[in-house]
Amino acid sequence: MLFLFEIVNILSFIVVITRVVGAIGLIVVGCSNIRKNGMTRNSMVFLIIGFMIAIYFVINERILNLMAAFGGPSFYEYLWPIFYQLLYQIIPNLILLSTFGGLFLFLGIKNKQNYGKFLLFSSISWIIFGVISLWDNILILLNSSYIFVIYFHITISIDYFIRESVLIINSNFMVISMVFLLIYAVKMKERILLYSSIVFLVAAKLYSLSLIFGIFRL
Amino acid sequence: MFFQFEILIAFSRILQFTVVLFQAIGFLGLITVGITRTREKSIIEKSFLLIIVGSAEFIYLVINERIFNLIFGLQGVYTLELLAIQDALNYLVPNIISMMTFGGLFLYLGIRNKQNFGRLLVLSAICRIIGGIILIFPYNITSLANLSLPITLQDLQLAYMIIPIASISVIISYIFLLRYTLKINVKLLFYASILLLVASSLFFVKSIIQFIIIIS
Repeated sequence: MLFLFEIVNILSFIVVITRVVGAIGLIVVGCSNIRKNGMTRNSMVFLIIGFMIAIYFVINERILNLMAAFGGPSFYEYLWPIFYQLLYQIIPNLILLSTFGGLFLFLGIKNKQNYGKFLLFSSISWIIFGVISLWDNILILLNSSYIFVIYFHITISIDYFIRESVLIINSNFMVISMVFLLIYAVKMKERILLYSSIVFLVAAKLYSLSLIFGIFRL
Repeated sequence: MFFQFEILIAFSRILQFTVVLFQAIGFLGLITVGITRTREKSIIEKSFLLIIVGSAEFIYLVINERIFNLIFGLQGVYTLELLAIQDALNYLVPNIISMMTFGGLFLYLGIRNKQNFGRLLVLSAICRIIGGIILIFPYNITSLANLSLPITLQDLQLAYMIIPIASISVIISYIFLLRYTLKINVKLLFYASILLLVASSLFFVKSIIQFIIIIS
């Protein structure tokens, strides 16, 4: 049991590292575009996305530790689960939703002729993934399991199983989104973006794997 | 007095957070310069080393707190050893990584490119290595103190007095790096080294505050 729990943790750890490496790739794409073509919309979008993702994963653990240091023992007792859910799930999801979903959608619509439709498909897939996982995060934050258990007369493990199954299916949208980004990179002949999207694709598959291992904890 | 003491501790924690943030942006700058130069001029030694230095430091910033959480997850309980590991992961290990990258690799690069303002890089690396070696001593003391080993208050005070002195050497090293970036005229590298200089200056302020806390 502990072993499975640790596998999930280690997989999440690797997912974070791969996402950060992917984000560095996006920053490089943005910077080299700025050097080549000046401050274009394209380069700014890549720079913002990469920067937001890379920096957030450096600071989120530290924000939580800072809060815990200021909050004292009462923080651990009452506020820890709320802030943990916020900093580890909801805010990263919102960042990814606004960048891979929002900014790529914007870029895709603006550059429809220039293979932008692949970015558009990528962002739509990401929006579907992001909204469902954000919804799940909010349900966890609201402690909805108890409500479902009482209302639908199910055990807590069945509720967990249903929720995890939905998330596993949902994670495929993230994989699809990254496949479209990969196609876009191939079409645009952007080498660093290609490597970056491969890294993000690996992160997406590892995320799915961590969810599958999570279900075995039942 | 108690209230002021609390404020000082809070301020030092916020400063530490800001140091990490500035360092992270600075390291990202190094990586970006390295990769964009590699793309433009094919793989050259300088850009390759910049990528290694930047990514080693940046990835460590991402993982150090997470490594601790993984160990904590495996162990289950918060022990003194764990506290010492946390201290080492936060201070001792990054110091050694910096000594190897900013010290070792930049020293190598400086010696290889002596004609091309490389002596500034050599000076920067030497200062970083000296600062790093001095810093190992106080960090060892604080880690030992976490393990409740017989460390006297005087030892701790001495340790916290050495940290700001050593961090001056680190600041000087980043000033040399800044001068080097000015000479070679790479704008992004210049901005990155400014951020790293600001981070090391903030670290100096934080270490002074910690020293005031420990002596009061």
